[in-house]
Formats: sequence, structure tokens, C-alpha cells
Amino acid sequence: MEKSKWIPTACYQCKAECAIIARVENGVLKEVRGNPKARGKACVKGMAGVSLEYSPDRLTHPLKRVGKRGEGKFERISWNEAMDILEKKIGGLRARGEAHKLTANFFPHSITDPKWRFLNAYGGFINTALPHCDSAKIVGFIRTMGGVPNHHIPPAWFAVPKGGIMILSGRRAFGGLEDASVPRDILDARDRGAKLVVLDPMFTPEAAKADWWIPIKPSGDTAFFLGMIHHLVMNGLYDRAFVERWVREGDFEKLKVYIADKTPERMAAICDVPAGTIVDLAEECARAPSVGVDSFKGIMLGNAMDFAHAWNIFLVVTGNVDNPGGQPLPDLTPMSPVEPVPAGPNLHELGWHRTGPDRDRFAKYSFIMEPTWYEAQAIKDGGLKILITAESNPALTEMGQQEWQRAVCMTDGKGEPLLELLVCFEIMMSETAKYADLVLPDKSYFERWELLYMPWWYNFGHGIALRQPVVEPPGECRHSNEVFIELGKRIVPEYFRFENDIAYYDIQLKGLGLSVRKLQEIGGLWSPGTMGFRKYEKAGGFGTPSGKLHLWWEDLEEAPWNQAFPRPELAPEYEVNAKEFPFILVSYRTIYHSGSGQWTHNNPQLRDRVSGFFENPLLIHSGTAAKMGLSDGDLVTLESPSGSIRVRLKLTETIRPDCLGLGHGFGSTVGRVAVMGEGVSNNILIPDAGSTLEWQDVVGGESHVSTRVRIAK
Amino acid sequence: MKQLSLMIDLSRCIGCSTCIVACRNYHEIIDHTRAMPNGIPYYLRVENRERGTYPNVAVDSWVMPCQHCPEPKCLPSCPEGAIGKDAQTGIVRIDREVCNGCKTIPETLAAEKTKAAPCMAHCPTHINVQGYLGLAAKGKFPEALALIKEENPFPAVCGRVCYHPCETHCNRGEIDEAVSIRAVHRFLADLDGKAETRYVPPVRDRKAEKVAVIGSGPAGLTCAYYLAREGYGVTVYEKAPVIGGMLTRGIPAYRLPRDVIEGEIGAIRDLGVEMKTGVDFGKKITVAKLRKKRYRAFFFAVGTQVCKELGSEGEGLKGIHPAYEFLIAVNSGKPPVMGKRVAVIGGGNAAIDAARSARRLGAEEVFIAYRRSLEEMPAGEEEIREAEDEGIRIETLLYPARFIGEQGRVKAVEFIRMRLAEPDESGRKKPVPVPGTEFARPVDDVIVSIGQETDWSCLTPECACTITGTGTLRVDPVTLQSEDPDIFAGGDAVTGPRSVVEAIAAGKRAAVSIDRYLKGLDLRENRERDWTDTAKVQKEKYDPAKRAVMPLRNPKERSGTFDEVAAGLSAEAVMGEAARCQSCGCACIQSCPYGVIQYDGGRGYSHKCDLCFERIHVGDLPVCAETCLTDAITFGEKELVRRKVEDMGKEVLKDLTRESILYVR
Repeated sequence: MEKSKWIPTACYQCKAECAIIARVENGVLKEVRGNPKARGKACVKGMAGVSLEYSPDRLTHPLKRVGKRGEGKFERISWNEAMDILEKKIGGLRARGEAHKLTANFFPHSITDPKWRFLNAYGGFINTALPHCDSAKIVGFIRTMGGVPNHHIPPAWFAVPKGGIMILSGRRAFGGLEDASVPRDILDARDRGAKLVVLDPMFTPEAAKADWWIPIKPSGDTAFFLGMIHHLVMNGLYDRAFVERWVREGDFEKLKVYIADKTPERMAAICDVPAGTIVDLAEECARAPSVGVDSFKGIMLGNAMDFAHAWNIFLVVTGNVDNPGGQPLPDLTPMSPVEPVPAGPNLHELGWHRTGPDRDRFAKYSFIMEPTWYEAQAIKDGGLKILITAESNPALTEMGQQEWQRAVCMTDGKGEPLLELLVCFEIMMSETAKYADLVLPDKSYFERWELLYMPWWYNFGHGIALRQPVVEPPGECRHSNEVFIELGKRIVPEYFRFENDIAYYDIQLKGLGLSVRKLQEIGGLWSPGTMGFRKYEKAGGFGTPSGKLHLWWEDLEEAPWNQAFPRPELAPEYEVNAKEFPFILVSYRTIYHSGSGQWTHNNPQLRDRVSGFFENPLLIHSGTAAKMGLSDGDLVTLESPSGSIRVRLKLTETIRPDCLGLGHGFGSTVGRVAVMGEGVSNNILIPDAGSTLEWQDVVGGESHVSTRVRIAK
Repeated sequence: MKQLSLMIDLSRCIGCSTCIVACRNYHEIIDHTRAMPNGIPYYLRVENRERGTYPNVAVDSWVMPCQHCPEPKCLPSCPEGAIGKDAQTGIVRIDREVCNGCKTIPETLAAEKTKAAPCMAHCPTHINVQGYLGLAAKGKFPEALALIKEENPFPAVCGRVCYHPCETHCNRGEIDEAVSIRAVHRFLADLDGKAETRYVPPVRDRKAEKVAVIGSGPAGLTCAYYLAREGYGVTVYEKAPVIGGMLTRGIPAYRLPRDVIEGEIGAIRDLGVEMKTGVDFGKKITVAKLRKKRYRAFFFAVGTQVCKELGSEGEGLKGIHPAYEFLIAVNSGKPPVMGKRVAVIGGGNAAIDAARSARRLGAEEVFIAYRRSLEEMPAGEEEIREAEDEGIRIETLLYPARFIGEQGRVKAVEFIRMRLAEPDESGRKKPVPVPGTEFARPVDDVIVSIGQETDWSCLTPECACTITGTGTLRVDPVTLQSEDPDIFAGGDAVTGPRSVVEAIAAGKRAAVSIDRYLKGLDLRENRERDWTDTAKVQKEKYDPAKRAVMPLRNPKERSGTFDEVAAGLSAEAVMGEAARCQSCGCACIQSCPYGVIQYDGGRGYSHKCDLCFERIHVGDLPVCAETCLTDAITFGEKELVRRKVEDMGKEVLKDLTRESILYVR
């Protein structure tokens, strides 16, 4: 028997991409652990990666659709045939001068992703595979502090000093969507004397371990933080030295004027938390050596930017910027460019897929990537002709998923599909794959090469990690990156002069004096050794235009409303229809599932009742249920203004009486495990972005998983 | 190496299941290519409890591995001797080479084997029947008896008078006839007849707290037995001059010989239980007085003593005997003189006992009048059959409309015929009189056996607990705790007249509650176990042997004597009969109070957590401790772990820590 060996690589059960090691014995993957070199952990999803690897549902050959879109009928074809179809269709679109009508929908693991290079060279758009849960957060940081966009930047919890405060605002930090070592580090910090404060309408696993649970009204965070800022600023409890030194001239004075009437009492009425609580936490924060705040889902709301803004102002006035226990700032890793560098399409010139009355305004909210959730509208408008998805599942993850499913099946007057080509790279048949013209068998994350570059990686600041094959792929699987590189060689060869993915990564690694081989030899991870604190001191300022911190966002002052400072009101989607739809839907997540992908939902260990989350009941407060004459296990209809689902009730004391809780994800109709149980998708309840553009304009952002609902028996 | 242990810190465990999946992967107890949700084996599971009401809620989560009990219940339950406790480390291991999955055929009945066998599921005291039958089949009689005595201190009594739901639900009945479980049970219990060789279970550390048990019937004595084993000082107060309640005063000796009862009561006395007879509780001795004497809990198991009345005309005539009073008189050796013709009113076991006793006292013509049909009759089948063998007639759908007397003494009963209407709230069809069907029948004596009620004068005013509309004490059905936190009640006093085995189950339930109450623990938590039983019968292989027949004394010889009717089986017959058991479940899985043993249907063996025996011997951590997402699990020598708990200022959670695994916060 071959001696088993542990190989360092990177997990991809979720977007955190934790550093892991994988044990292989006789060519078979057996176990997974967190990589000790990265002080890493692997969560339950990571551990269950072994079941994903050996799922009998793995796709092993290219498939071509033979039935109607959505029917799920396919025939096996060769890779040669598949590549020829891709080249003909994709090359043809570009030849027509409509390259920008191609969108690829995938998670950009890092800017080193060859798929992204292909798009930039070709002239197409990228959509992130996961909708922009955190775009408002990122835009907020860039606007206030400048710096490098990064998909999530939790505070470095391992750096929180004794007495520090850790605030989780609508954030399931134990849910393993950030680095898997976050739960350990938060608890370690708490055990050495830091305080954990949880603001959440649900009593979460984090709340169960917290010193303080504040059951806030959903989207009341902006008001809550503004109330704290008022108390700190008006009572001189803010970090005067830091503000004087680092805040742009005039901003703090403007803030003082703006915040004057945002008293804790007034804010309390909005967020439904007693004013005393707001004051108490503000004073604790003023005394504490550090305050770190993390949030995520709380910002997938119509007022997401307002919250991101309030959060940033709070960090600035308390001086918690790039300090131990506060908000870290990401940093660039000096990678080498791969010449020639493609310019990429000019999004502002070519236009977004989104076409609403407020089209231009929308640019203020976005940063690099085209938002995903207008695909349905773009297809209808003729702005989207080829859609390629890789490791993404828009058929389920789109807001108002029904409209996406309808749109991809729409035809013109001659019976030709509006969407000319839908290609899906997947490791298992997914909801989206069912609609695809070509389903291409992807390699799992245990079978492929990938260079992951992160401006800020939990545990070691900015750095890089190598994902390397630990086992052979089944059948004829090819990684989407390999396919895109081959397409690049066929369609835009001037940008793809390197041999393959490894050669491509080698060029980029030169900037660090490394190569894939060398990176492998040093254990697959490289970092400067420390994340660094108060880097702005050494740099003499921040990455903002003024080099200072911007509290006032002047470009958002214009009509239709003034958003230069954060508005305290609840998310608009929670304010309207309150009478007919008395409950606020809280879309929560568990550690077991990451979005709506087959990777976790079709994994038996993550759906098993002992080790996962099997069904998706609707959580309702026992008292609320009693008043309505509802019992545990009742099957009810849950209705939003735009959709309805049938779901079973689960009574609990762990949710606000005015809220209902539903796990995010679920709802698949393919996959032998994914279809089990009664799990329903919350996305059905969310209005489709394309057909409700005016609504999106009303809410001023993306009411992504947020809506009011009612129960009908 | 020393005794090894895990410390699980609830202030860090987030119940994320990472350890469960890591454990499965390492031990390769999952086939990744075939696994489906809710059917994958696991050595660990997460338990959660939600406490309080919004917004003052708390949720605890913890993982539950094999507890590696100091006295593992699985170990003695295994007929094959496949389970051992490693002397060096205290780790309980199942030897896969020896385990045969309790006679399973691999790939068959895999899911069924993890459920409880119907015999155990339906036994109110949940004796591991399959386990002791397996041991008995191999001739391991003392081991089999010890297994019974874990769950029931009255094996010899139950081996005779139990209504044996185990046999009623036995899956072997689907093939031919149920296993004669009660007969095996009795044989095993009778081996222990001699006082000097009797198995008396060990008593745990003596405790300072005292508990008073009021009533010495099966419920009271069972409670005393379990509390005494836990080390509590127990005093039993009995109103009657003899200990045993219904066992000695209600059931006649031909069914339950006195020496058998005395033997089992003796074993309880040997545990240090103090027994006081002739105490009319509530008079000189009261709850208030005992509370002052530092009695910390009370268990009222006073049974039912007051015979219910029919309410028929002439019920006060001489020659009409309430059944219980009649049986007490018979069993105390001062029976009333019986006439030639005796009518017994009622359909329960007491009615049958009264009829058969009357026959033994010389009555020539004894008949039982029951108002419903034979189908609804609560008496046991064997009792009915044996009564009929003795010439007792059972007449159904009859009700005594009135008693006709002469000079104050009954001379006839006027019966009215009944018919059955829709079922009443008891679920049985309701008997209604058919007008115009009255007829009289001459009798010399009548015994009325229509149930009893409780005399609650034992409860003095200082007790806050209350009585229900049906005359029973109001208690929580799960904990048996009354409205007085220190007063518990169970048995017939709470349920109305029921069977011996149900009283024993209530005594056991009360003992668990009282133990928890005295330790300051939650009384309700994890009380109910899932008793879903296996419905499928393993028909692939079975020994076609016929059910052993219990030899009975010739009916003709029974008249005039109270000697025991059933003679008992021979050792050979017992081994043969026990071997007829189809082993519906797995003995060890059923024995485990924590539900941590798994069953591998493909390979046909039981398996469970062994604290990663192979890993820890080369210095590695168990996988759960190594992979815990929040570092909530500490592994090490038990004593060192305990010291660490102190050093870290952690508190041991007594309500969760029962065995070797330490739960702390």
C-alpha cells in the first residue's frame, strides 16, 4: 500500500478558499484538514469535500442539449466537437462586433484567473458567480478608505486585544463563509477578555456564544450605528487625535451637523433597540482598545450603501482603521503582468446590461463587475447573446429565478432563441446546466491548478496560494480555465502566447521570484509574513483621491435624494407593503451550505440530519405562531409581493416575533441528494431585478434577499 | 497509559458537525459514492437545547461520542462477548471479528437492525430482552439475569404475573409463535432464589440525602431499589402489616408464591432500604415531620385501596364482597367462607384472581359476569384460559341491575343483558343495557371487582399537590413530579389500577427524577428515548423449533390448594426457547442509553467510537479533537483533563457529564 501523503492546496466549497491539506492514499482522496502552515482550519463543508469528489453525480463527458432548454435532455459529444461549437459561436459573436454581448458568470477566484483574461481580451463582461452580496461593503470601503477591493475583509480576530470589542452585525461569522479559522479566533479573543456583541434579528450560533445579543430589526443597523456615532461625536467620546490627523478637511464638521439630530432615541425608534443599549455599546466602544465590526448579509439590502457608509464612519471616528482588532486594509502583492495586458471592455461606454430609468446613477454603486441579476432583462433587451457559467448557478441564485428560467427559453419571431448560446461548466448537473446548450464537465478543486491571489487573506494578510491537483479527474473532465485558454488561443491568440495555465501562472509569479514549482516546494503558500498594521502611517496616507479618509461622499449628494451621508431609515423594501405583508423575511445561512450550488446541496454529508442541514423549514417565533393558531410542522404558503412557496413551520424562541427565517439556497430539481426533502428557495420570493427596475431604483440598490412576507395556510 | 477522556467545552462548541464529517472520513464509515442523507453512520452527533423565552434565550450545543462508560451497558448485553473495556485506557471497543451483528445476514434488514426490538420497545421497563435471550440461549444464565436486573428488580415476579407485551409484540409470532419470553424470564429469575447467592447490585457512593417512599408495592419498592443503588438513604412506609402491596395482598399465591416475592423484596432490603410496616402515613408520620428530619424527597406510591361501588340496588347486602378486600383476606390466610355458587362481577385480572381463589376455597360453581365482550376483557389470556380450565364460566355482556336479598343476605343477582355501542373515551366499545332482558340468577356470594381508587388521607395540609377529577395525584407525566417540587408520585395512585410492570416502570422513572432533583439537574431533559421498533421479521434463517409450553398443574389438582400452578421450564427447554429469538435488533445498540452504537449492514457488525484507538497509541489526537473548528475538544488522561478543568476555571456540567466524557463550560 502506498504511504498516504498530505498535499497542501486550497478548498473551494465556498468563496473563502481556505488553505487546506488533503490526504491521498493510492491516488484516492481520504481526508481534509486545515493547513497548519496557515494556522488554518477546515469547516464541515471543507471536510465534506471528499463526498463531493466521489459523488456518483459527477459529469464525466461533454454533453450537448437535444431537448428543449430546461428539459434536461442531452447527448454525449466529444471535446473536439464541443470546442468547435464554442469557437464558432463565440468567435462569430465577436466578428459581428457584439463581443460585449457575451457574459461569463463565474467566481473570479483572483485577478489571476485566465477566464477573466479571456474576457478582457475578447471584449466580454464578467458577472460574479455569486451575486454581489458584498459589493456595497466593498464600495463603502473604497470610498472611505481607498485601497484595494477584496471580497471579504473580516477583522483579524486573532489580533483583538484583551478588552477589545467584536461586533457581528447580521453576520454569521461561525458560518464558515470567511476563513474557517474565524470561529476559533473569535472564541479565543473572547476567552482572553474581548467582548463579543451580536446584532441580529435571530439568536444565531454566534449569539449563543456572545456576551451581548441585541435583537435588532432587520436593516436597522444603519440607524443603530448612526445613534452610536451621534453619542460618540456629540459627547466628545470619539478618537480626536485620529480624526484630526486622518480625516479629510471639512468632513468631520459636515458629519457633526448631519449627525446632530440622529439621537439614540430617534434611532432607537427605527431599529427597535432601546436607546440605552445604543448608548451603552457606544460608550463601551469608546473605552475599548479596539473595535472590529463584521457584517455581510445585512448589507444585501436596498440601503446597503447607507449601512456600509455608517459602518465606515463609525470605524473612523473610533479610530479603528488598520489597527490590531479593528478594520484591516488590504494590500497589493507585486505580481508580474502577463504582456500584452488586454484593456478589457469599457463598461461605461458599452453600457451595462441593466437598462432602467436610473441607469447612470447605478454606476455609483458598482465597482468592477457587472451585477449578475439583470441577465433576464439583458436577454429580453438583446444585450446578452452568449452566457457562459462556470461553478455558478444563476437558474437558482438569480433574484426572481423564475424570470431567468423564462428568459433563457425565450425565442424571437422566427423561433430562434434570444440567448444564442448558454454554456455551463459544472462538476454535476445543476439547475442552470439543465437549460444549457453545452454542459462541460469541469474539474473539481481537488483536480486542478489555480493560482489564488488575495489582497487580504485572513491569517496572513495579502498573499498567494496554490491550488494543485491531488487526485486524477474522472472521465474527460477539463478545468474551465484550460478550456478558456484554448479558446483564447483560437480566438484572441495574441493574448494567449503562453503554453498552458501553469506557464501563465509562472509569468505572474516572477514578480515574487517564484514559479508554480517553487511555490509548490515552499508548501503552496506565500505571504510577506505579516499583515502589517497602520500601513497608512508608513505610506503617509490612504488610497483615496485626497489621501485622507472620506466621510462625506459628495457625488451622492445629487437628486433624486441626498446620500452623501448615510440615511437612517430601514431598507425601503421593509417599509412598503407593511400592512398586507406583516413579516420581514430573514434569509439566513448555515455553515452547511454555500449559496445554491450543487457543491453543498447535492452533498450527502451536508444534507444529512446528523452532519448537515436537510430541510429548510420556516422559522417562526412560538408566540407569533400561537397568536395565528399555527403549530410546529404546519405546511403553510409563504407569500411575498412577487412570489410564493410552500414551506413547513418550525417554532422557536430564537427569532424576533416580527420576522420569519428561511435558509438561503435550496430549491434544486436535479441531483440525487439535492432534490431530497422539502427545501425551498427563498429567491422565488424576491422580485426579479429586470422586470422590476423601477423598484430597484426606488430602493437605491439591490434588495437581494430582502422582502416582506405573509403566511397563508 | 491511564484512563482516557475527552473534555468538551460548551462555551466553544458551536455544533457545526465538522468533527462528525472528519470522523466519518477518517474511519471510512461512509461510502462516498453511495451515501444518502439521513442514512450515513456516525460516531458523533450534535445535541442542542434551546432554553428560555425570547429575548432571554440560550442555546447550548455539544457533541455526543461514545461515553466509554465505567460500567458500560453494552458490554454485558453482548451474547458473543464481542465488547470489551480496555483496562489500560478505559476505552470500550467492539471486536469486529467476534461481533456477528446479532445473527444478522449481511445486506439484509440493515436499517431495521438499528431500531429497538419490539420486545424491548413495548416492555414498560424496557428490559433488553433480545440481549438476555441471546445470553440464555448460550447457557449464560447469571449474565442474562444481571441484564434483566439492570432494568427491573422484580424478575421473578414479572416472570410469573407480567402481562408480557414483549410476547404480544414478538416478531417471531409472524413466523409461527412468539418466543415464550416470560417463561425464560422466570427460569432465570428462579436461579436466584436462594438468599445467600442472590445477585445484589453494587451501591454507589453513599449520599447524605434521605428519601421517603410511601407504599411498598412494586412502584414504591422499585423506586427504593434504584435510589438505594445510587447511595441514597431510603425509608419505605407501609400501612399494611406486610410489605409488597398488591404483590402480597392482591395476587394469590397460586400465581405468585409468597417466597418468590419475599426473595425479591429481600434483595432490596439487602441494599440497605429501611422498611416500616403498619405506618398510617399522614397520621403520626407526615410529610412536614419528615421534611424536618431532612428527608429531601417523597415518592407516593400508595396504589389504590378503596373498592369502587357498582351503585346497583342491594349492594350493601351480606355476601357481597369487594374483590380487593376479599383477596386481602385470602392472602392473609383468613379467607371468608364461600357458598356453593359465586358470581364475580368484572373482567380484570383481579376478577379472575377472585374467581379462582373462590374456587380454591370450595365454591362449586363460579362464574364471571363481564359487561363487555371477551375481546374487551382486560384480563390476560393465560389467566382466562387457566380459569376456564378450572371450571370457571365467563359470561359476557351482563351487568348486575340489582342484588336480591333475603334477611339481609344476597340470594340472587338480577342481570341485564348489554350490547356494545360506539367506543367511549377509553377506546373500548361502550356497553349499553338492552331493556327487557333482565333475568335473575341465584347466588350464595358475589365478589365485585370493578376497580379501586386511592385514599389520599396520607397527604397532609402542608402538601401543595392536588388530586385530579379521577382521584389520582396530579403529576407531570414525564417526571412524575407533583406541584410540590419534592413530592413525586407514580404507579396505580397516578394511573388508576394497572399492571405490575407498569408500576415498576413508574418507580424507575420516579427514581431517575428524584436523583436528578436531588442533584439539582433538569428533570425533563432527554427523558424520552425513541422506541420505534423494528417491524420487519428476519425470515431468511430460523430454527423451526416450536414454542416451549409452560407445564401447568392438572386443573383437577388445583382445587383446594394455593400452590403454584405453573411449574416452570427446564434449563434445556429454556436454552432452546431462547434460541428461537430472531434477534430483531442488535443487543448492544438497544442497551446503549446514549444511542451511539452504529450498525454496518453491509458487513454485518456493530461499530462505534473507540477514541481513535490506533491514532492515540502513536501519539496523535482523536480526529474530533484534532479537527474541532473551535478547539472545543481536549483529549487526555482523565485525571489530567480534570485538573485542566480546574486550572482553566471551567465548570463541569453535571447534567451532561454522566460518564467518562467531561462536559464543561
